[in-house]
Amino acid sequence: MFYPSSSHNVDSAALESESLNSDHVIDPEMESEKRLMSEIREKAEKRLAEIGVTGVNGEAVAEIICSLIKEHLRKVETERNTDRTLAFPDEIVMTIFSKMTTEERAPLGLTCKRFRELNF
Amino acid sequence: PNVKLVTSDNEEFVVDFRIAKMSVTVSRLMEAMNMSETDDASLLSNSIPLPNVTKAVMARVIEWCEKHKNDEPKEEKENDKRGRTTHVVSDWDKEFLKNDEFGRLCQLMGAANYLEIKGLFNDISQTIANMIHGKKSDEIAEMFNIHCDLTEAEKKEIRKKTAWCED
Repeated sequence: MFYPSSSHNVDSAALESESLNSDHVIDPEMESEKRLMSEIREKAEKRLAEIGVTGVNGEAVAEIICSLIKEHLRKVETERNTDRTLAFPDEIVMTIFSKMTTEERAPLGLTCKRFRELNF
Repeated sequence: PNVKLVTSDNEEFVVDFRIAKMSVTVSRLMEAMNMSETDDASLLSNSIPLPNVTKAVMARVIEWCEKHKNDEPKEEKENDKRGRTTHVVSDWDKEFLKNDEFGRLCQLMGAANYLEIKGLFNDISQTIANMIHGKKSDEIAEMFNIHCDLTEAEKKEIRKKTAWCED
């Protein structure tokens, strides 16, 4: 089955317009990271100038500092979003659970399948 | 005599022989490398690699070991009437662990497990159990940063089976 070409045209126009709009959407997190990095860069350049590292050298060092900070921030973010129980083998999780009474352990069964299996 | 411990991020820690011996893993590695308390040369020429422990975590482990190096071995109580194994966390240990955010506590517990330092492992597992106590399932999931993979129907079924616990 073929759709009328006019409908196709409307769809692609809509898609194009959506894609154009999406270019203008401002991600608040990205904006705040940009602002933070530019503040850090400014401070780094100021401090480097105080100790006599200016010009191309100053810019290069500031660039290195910023990329190291970015890398660190990314690591912190990954750590924050990592399932903390993945690093724990079943025995460790069971040791923690064994320190709780049967009643205290009840909500564990509703947390996730793994906890449910380990708890019962 | 001192022992050199090297972490995953290549940081070297020089610790007292007694502290090194508090870790079953390190003890075993020292034995395997023929390192003995009476043989200074063996201690000086070798270092123990600990690829599963980072510098930051190792510093905390050593701080704990320093405090407990003269402790008598503790006996763990068997399951009590309410179905749990009790472990008393001393005031110093509570203070030591209270400022660690949950993620850091998990890293420390992982290190205690890998290094086989029973006292530290028990302190942390009891602390985590105390943190879970009184929390709802969604709060526990948030604490561990886990996604609930149970369906609503499964949850309903579980709730039905465990209703007696909530009375």
